[in-house]
Amino acid sequence: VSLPEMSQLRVDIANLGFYKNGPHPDIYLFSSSSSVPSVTRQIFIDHHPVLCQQTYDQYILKAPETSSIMGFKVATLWQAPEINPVNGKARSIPILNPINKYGRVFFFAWFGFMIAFLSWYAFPPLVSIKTPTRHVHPMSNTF
Amino acid sequence: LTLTIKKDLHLSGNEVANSNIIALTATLLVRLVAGPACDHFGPRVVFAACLLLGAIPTALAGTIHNAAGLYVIRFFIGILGGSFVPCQVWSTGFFDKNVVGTSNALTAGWGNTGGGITFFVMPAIVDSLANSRHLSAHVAWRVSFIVPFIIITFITLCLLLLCQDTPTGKWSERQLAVQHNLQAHGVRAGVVNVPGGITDRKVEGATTPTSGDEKRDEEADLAKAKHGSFDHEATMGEQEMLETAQGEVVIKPSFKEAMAVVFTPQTAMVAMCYFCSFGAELAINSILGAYYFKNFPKLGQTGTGRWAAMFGLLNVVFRPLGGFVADALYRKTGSVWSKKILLHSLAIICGGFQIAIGVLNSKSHATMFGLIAGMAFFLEAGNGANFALVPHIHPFANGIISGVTGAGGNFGGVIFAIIFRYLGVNYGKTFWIIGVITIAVNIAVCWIKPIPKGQVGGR
Repeated sequence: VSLPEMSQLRVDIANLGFYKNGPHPDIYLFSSSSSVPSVTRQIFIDHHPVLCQQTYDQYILKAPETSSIMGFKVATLWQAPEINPVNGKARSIPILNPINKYGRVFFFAWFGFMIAFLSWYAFPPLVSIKTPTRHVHPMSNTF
Repeated sequence: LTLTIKKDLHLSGNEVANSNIIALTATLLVRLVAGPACDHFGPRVVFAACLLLGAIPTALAGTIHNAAGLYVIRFFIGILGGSFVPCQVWSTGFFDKNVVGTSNALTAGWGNTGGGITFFVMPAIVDSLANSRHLSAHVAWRVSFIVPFIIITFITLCLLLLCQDTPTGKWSERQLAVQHNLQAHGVRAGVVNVPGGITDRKVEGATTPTSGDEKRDEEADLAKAKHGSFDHEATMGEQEMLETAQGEVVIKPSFKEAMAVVFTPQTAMVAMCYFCSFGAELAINSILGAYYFKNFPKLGQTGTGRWAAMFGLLNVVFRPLGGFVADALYRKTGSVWSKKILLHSLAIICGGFQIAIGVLNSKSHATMFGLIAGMAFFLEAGNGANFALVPHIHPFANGIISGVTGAGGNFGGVIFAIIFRYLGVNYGKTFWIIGVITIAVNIAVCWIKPIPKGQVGGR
C-alpha cells in the first residue's frame, strides 16, 4: 500500500523511550487498541529506529491548509476549536460562530455583560442631560 | 428631553452625586462576593443571578418618587456591575491558557462598550416614547426602564438555557470529568481530589493505587466509553496533563483558603494594577465630558459628551489588543513573566500620557484628543493585559482573584473620583496626580513574581 506523503505518522509509545518527556510535534501518539487501517514501517528520528503506523484516517481527517495572516489562522474564527484533552478548554476562539459550544459561551459572556450597562449606566444621561449650568455635565455623573 | 429625572424628582446636585457613589459602592461589594460565589456555584449561575437580581430594580425604577427611592434603586441596580466577574471567570473556564488573554479582553472590552452605547440609546428611547407615543416626559423616563428590563431578562434566560457551566458539563462534576479525561488518555488517575459526596465505582477503583497496567487500560476504555473524548484534541504530554488536572481545576473554597488566596502578593499585584488602570478609566469617564466642555466650550454639551463617549467606545479595539498582545508574547516566550512585563510597561506609558495631558492642559483639539486617544490605548490595553495575567496566578481559585481584582478596579474608581471632586474644575492637576500614582504603584509591585512559589498548573 502506498500512501501520499501528507499523511501523518502515528508512533507506538513503546518505541519512544527517548521521547518520554513529550511527543515530537509531528507525531501523534496512538494506543494499541486503535482500529484504524494502517501500514507499519520503520523510520528514523534522530538516528533512532522507530516503528510507525501510517494511517488512512490521519490523511482523511487532516484539515486543509488554511490561509493565515502573520501566523494567525483566519478559519479559527469560525471553525470548531482544538480542545485541551484534560479540562476541555478551547485553544482558539470561534468569535464568529455562536452555534459552537465555545463560541456560544463567548457570545453570551460579552453580550450579557454589555446589556447590563443598559440599566447600570442608564441614570447618568437621564438624570441631568439638559441641565444648563456649566459644571454639571451629562457625563459628569457616569461613574 | 424637556424634563430630566433631576428636575422631575427635585434632586439637588449633592443628591445626584450621592446616588452615583451608592451605585459604585454596591458594584464594589457585589464584585467581592461574586468572586468566591463563582468558585462555589459556577460562573454561569452567578452571571445569571447578577443579571436577574439587577433586572428586578430596573423594572421598579419607574416607581421612584424621591431621593431616597433613587438611592435604593441605584444601589440594587449596582448589582448588574458585578456581572463583570462571572463574565471573566466563565471566559477563563472555556478558553485555554494560550488564548485566555484574548478571550477575557474581548468579552470585557466589548461588554464595556455598553457604557458608551447606553449613553446614546437610553435618551433615544425616552425621546421616542415622548415624541412617538406622546407620553409626558414625567412618564416617559419611567416607562423607558422597561426596555432594559425585558432585554436583560430575555438574554439571561437564553444564557441559562443554552450554555454550560464548564466545557465538561455540570459545575458539580468538573473534578470527576477531568479525572475521567485523564483515565481516557491513559494517565494514572488519583491525583484530583474528588469530593467525598460523589461516589462512583470506577473513580474509587482509580484512587487506590493497586491497579496494574491491565486494569489501567480497562479503566481507560471504560472512562472513554462513558465520557468520550473531544472532537479535535490538542496533543499534550503526560506531565502537562497531570499538572492541568492538579492545578487548574477550580476548588470549592473555604473561608480560610479564600483569605489565603486574597492575601498573596500576586493578588495584590494584579489588584493594585487594576486599581490604577480601571479606576482611572472609571473616574476619567465620569469627568471627561466636563473637562472637554471647560477647555472647548464652543463644542457645546452635546459635542463634548459625544467626544467623551468615544473614550469608552475605544474599548472595542484597545482592550482586546492588550489581551491579544499578551497572548502572543506568552506563546512566543512560554513565560508568564512576559505578560507581567507587558502589563507594567503599558501602565507606566499610560501614566506618562496622563502626566502629559495634565501638565499641557491643552486648548487645541488635536493635541487634547490625540493625547486622550493615546492614553486610552495604553490604559485599556493594560486592563486587557491584566486579565490575561490573572488566570495564571491562582488557577484553582480563579473566581476569588478575579473578584478581588475587579473590586480593586472599582475601588480605584471611587478614590480617583474623590480626588476629582476635591480638586473641582482643576481637571489637569487630577490627571497628572493619577499619572504619578499609576507609575509609582506599578514600580512598587514590579518585583513580585507573577506565579506564587510552589504553584502547579499556571505556567
